[in-house]
Amino acid sequence: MSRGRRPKWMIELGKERIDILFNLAEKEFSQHPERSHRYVKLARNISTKYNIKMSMEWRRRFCKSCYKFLKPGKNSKIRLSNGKVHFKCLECGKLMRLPYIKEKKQKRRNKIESYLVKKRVNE
Amino acid sequence: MITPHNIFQHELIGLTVEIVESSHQGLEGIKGKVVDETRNTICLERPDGKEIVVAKSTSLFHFRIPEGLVVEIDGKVLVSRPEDRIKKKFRKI
Repeated sequence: MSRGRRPKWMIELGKERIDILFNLAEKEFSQHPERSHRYVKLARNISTKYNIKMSMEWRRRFCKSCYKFLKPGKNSKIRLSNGKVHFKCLECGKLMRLPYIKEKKQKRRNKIESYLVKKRVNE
Repeated sequence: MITPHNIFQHELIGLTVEIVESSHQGLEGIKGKVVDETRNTICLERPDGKEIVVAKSTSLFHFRIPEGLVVEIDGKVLVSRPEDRIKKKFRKI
C-alpha cells in the first residue's frame, strides 16, 4: 500500500468510524472505563493510518501522553489561565495547554462592531 | 451511515449480532452486542452481562444495522485488523 494521501471515500469512512467510536467511549465510561480507553486506541489507529485529523470536539477528550479517555470531573480537570485552557489528566498527571486566542479576538471584534453601530445611530 | 454495501469496511463495535452457524455447536444461536474486535476474534456481551470471545473465521453472523436491516456475513471475509478493513477489497459472494 502506498504512503501519503488516501482517496476521499476512505477518509470519509474513517471519519465516520472515529465519530462512532468516541460516542461509544463516552457512553461506556461510567460502567466500563477500560472499554472506552480501548476505543480511543482503535480510533487513533484509524486516524494515524489514513492521515485523518480528529475533530476539535474529540481532540480534547483523550490524554496526549497515556492516550486514555478523559471525562471532565471524573478523571480530568479543566481550568483557564494566561489565555490558555489547561487540561490535566488525573491518570498520569500530564498537563495539556491549548490557546483560545480565536475566541478572544472574536469577542473583541464583536465589541468594536457594537460600539460603531451605536455611534452611527447617534449621528 | 452503515449500509449493507459498506458494512465490511465500517465499524462493527456497537452493532447487535447473532451467531447462526459455527464449528462449535455451543455458540450457535447466541445473540449480543459487539464490544471489542481484534484481527481474528469478536468479543460479544450477552444480555445477561457475560462476555464471550468468538473466532471470526469459523462462524456465520447476522448483523443488525441501525436502520433495522439484517445482513448476513461470512466470518472469513472479516479476518483482518479493524483499521485495515477500510482499504481491503471484497468480492461479492
